[in-house]
Amino acid sequence: MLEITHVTKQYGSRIAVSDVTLNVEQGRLVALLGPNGSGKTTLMKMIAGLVSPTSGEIAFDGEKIGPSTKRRIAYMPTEAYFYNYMSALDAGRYYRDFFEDFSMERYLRALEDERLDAKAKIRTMSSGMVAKVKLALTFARDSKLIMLDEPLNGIDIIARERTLALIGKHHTPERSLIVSSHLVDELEAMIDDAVFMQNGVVALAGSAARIREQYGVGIVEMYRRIYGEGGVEGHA
Amino acid sequence: MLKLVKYELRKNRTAILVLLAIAAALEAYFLISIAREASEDVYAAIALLTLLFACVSFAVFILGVSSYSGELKRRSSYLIFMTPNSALAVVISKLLFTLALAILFSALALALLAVDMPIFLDAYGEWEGYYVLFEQLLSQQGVALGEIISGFLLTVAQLFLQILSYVGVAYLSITLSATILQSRKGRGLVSFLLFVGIVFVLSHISGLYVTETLEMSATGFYVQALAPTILQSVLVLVASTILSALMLKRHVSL
Repeated sequence: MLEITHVTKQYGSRIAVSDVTLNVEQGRLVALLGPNGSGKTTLMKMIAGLVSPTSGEIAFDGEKIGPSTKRRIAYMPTEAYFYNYMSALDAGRYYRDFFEDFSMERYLRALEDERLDAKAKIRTMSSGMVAKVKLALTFARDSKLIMLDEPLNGIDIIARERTLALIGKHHTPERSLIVSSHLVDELEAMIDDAVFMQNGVVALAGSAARIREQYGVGIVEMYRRIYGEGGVEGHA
Repeated sequence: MLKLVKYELRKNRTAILVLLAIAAALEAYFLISIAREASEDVYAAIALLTLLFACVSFAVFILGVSSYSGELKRRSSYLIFMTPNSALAVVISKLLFTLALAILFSALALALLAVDMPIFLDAYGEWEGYYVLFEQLLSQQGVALGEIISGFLLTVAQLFLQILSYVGVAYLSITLSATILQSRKGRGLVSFLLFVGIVFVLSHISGLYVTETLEMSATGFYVQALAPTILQSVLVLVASTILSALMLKRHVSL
């Protein structure tokens, strides 16, 4: 469904992503793992069509990433990205205006479930509340591919559990999810595939089950080996 | 793309409303002064209204430029760039927003002129005499008022295009500076220097095609004098828009 072929992204002399080749199959939940600055966000932005690769190609359902694929890929950035004037309701209207797959009804219901006031200005909300608005917006879209950039950052343990439950709920056979995080232990139980990124390159990628089988350790331990000890490389 | 323009207008609603409120206050000042027959206040109101619309053209330029530069600085850029629009469409939407503002305020200026002029002429009849005298002087010189008006409209169109082309050059400067410096400091200063440099070069180029032949009708003169400037503005606008979009897509880190 998503094919990333020898993709490199360079900003001036700085290489953010280097020669990444990956495939994401339909219905898979992929964890994009790595410390800050490892290239996870840049890779997601390229898949979302926010920036273009310097070289290489990304295709979604056989189509090169562009305005058309943006209609079918939902991306949730890690930062708050709303205009100052926006209330949660305004943000919903914005999504409704631009994305045909956005359900306002589902969005408002999600806000209600989270006990968020739709008329409240987002800039006055706590970081946890903003995270909930971002998740509600993203999951109100019926996209085939959903990407969440660090969805567990800056939220308390209860909100984390709810976020993980939401991710689980939206992980269906028709839809793929790519979730970036450095909080590996919280994701380990639910992921199908893991991609470890380091300094812009893929240090290790493959199905979580095969990684466990091949290396005899879990994803958390593998994370320690790669980033703590500078360990393994390859595809499992 | 029009939806992007709509959100640009919404984002800048406060600034637009402030300008409209100032115009409304000055217009009220003018009308009240006319009703009170306070000549000095009437002239002051006219002067202030004229000054306001001179400042508004600068404000439109600033709003147009800041709506673009802000996108490269703030995280809200995700909101625009994640929509199903190309980088080119995003840049064009910013230009259209600037054009929409320019049209809005020009229409307002014309509407106020159309309302205030007869009121003013009614109250100060002697001005009507000057107007008739001016028209007679023109006809004695073989110049019809219609030609002056068409020349005026051509000048307004040229002014619109020139403002837009300068906005395009500003976008190009901002994108170039973001490409060169990426996230480093000093982007604003580099953008400004690039803008000044490019505008300086463009003014030199436009100076090359000034001619001294004036043996023609007023409209012909306007066309001959303004056509090269209009053409240059269009070329600069198209080139800067395409280049900005290309660099934005390829080199700028959002």
